[in-house]
Amino acid sequence: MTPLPKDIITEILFRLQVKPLLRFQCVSKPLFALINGPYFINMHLRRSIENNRERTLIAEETPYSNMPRDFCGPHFYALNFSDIPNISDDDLDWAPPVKIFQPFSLPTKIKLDTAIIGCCNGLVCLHTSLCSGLYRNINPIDPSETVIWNPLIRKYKKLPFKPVENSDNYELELAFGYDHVNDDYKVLRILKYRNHPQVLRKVDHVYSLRTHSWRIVEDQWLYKELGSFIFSGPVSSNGALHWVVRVEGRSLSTIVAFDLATEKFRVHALPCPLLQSNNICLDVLRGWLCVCSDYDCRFTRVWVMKEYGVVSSWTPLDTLGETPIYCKPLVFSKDGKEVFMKESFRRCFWDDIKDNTLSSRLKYFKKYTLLVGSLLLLDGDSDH
Amino acid sequence: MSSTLCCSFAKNVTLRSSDGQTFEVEEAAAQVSQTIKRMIEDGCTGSVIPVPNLTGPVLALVIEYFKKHSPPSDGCPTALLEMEIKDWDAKFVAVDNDTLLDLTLAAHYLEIQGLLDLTCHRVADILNDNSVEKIREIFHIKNDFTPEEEAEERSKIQWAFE
Repeated sequence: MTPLPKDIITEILFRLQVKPLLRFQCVSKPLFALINGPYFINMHLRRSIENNRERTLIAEETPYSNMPRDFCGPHFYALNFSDIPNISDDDLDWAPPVKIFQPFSLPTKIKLDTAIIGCCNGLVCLHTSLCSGLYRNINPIDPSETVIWNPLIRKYKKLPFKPVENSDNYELELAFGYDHVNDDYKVLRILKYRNHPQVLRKVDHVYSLRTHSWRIVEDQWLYKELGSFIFSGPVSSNGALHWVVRVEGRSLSTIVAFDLATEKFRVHALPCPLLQSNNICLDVLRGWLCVCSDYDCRFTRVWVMKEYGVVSSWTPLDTLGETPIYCKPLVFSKDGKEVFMKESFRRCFWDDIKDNTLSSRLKYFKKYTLLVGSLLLLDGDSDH
Repeated sequence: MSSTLCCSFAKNVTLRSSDGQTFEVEEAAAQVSQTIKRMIEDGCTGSVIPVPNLTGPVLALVIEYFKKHSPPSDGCPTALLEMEIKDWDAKFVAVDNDTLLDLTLAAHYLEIQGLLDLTCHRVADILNDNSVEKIREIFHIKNDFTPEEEAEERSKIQWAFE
């Protein structure tokens, strides 16, 4: 029989999850080259996003759940939603959490804090440091490390060390996002000055995965006039990083965005009922910027910005009904009709509030981040 | 579009496979294929339409697909009909691997997007659970790695084989 043309083989491979694709690199050299090519990796990712494919929650273990004394950083677990078509998520048991190894090569005796800085397109940015908060009082033997990590293919890239001079007056913060204009993944390094009663933040350096290097950013202040209190963020969406902040001197909140391509700040208004709220959680749901709040202290409400940058496109998710307070949306169901919610420290449920087996499984974890199947960083380093 | 509407009742076309078998099929059904649709629009309907890339048995299967997927005469398909077609589709591609690949190629040549999606999805499902050796066999791909090279590539991603 005739061998299949490359177009068709590509079309078939686009439909596969990342693990079998890793194996199929070993089929032949042309297939290896195809799977490792940037076109294939980007198109495969686009399909994953469109089809809500290989949705995986990366969960960070809570520090108080049976942990040894010399515990080195939190452990991460992966929880997979099933991708079986034609079966609603509600009917499915989740696979049990699988412990995954974090890509740090640190001595195990040192007590470290590890934080998820951000996540997009299947990549997670992790930072580990000696003390709580991000690295403060940096010294030459500071073991802090930042990596961009693809847990589903177990590859990572460690960011080059970038020392900060004269670090007494400020702290550092990091943010991670995708610049779709330049098809690049970037990490922002932000200097946080405490100048009582104000707190000021200035973008200091930006790291580009494409060039694997840091570059200085000039004179970009995060809302010098806008205020100093961040409620939520950073969250990466549509080529920018977003925070919800309080406007200085007025009881108003707003979204501040840093465009990763132009490297400028801009502002997006919140949905009307949230303008004066100080209890807002920012997230991304299926590519949409999303805000979540229990501003009336009765129910959790969620809005999504269906057209990016268009304030009139904030749309409430009506399907949520009377969702209790302290809830946060985690992920859409496969068909995009339901939202999976997490109630802080208690339970999880689909938005019809039917209890789910996941409830008990998730309650021992804090902090989640949602991945899709992605082959990005296929050329990165391997897990230990 | 208007020309097909005014004379759409049971107008047939004849398709001829690579091995010379001919099949008569309703013109509206055959237009599920973009390639055939263009040929009809270009005025090739008077004679037999050659389909040189498909053998008789494969063309016969494709025509079955045409018939099931031709646009309904009474407007929009109902939800029930859509479900029935979905079931039919699943059974249609539950065939041996070589036939499945023949159908995939046919969908590609004849530009039948629905059939291409269906067959590619089915092939992907089969691939998911198969070994590297089996993939080579199904796709008729020659292994051009030396044993050392292959062992090295495998060792880098040992966990993916577990």
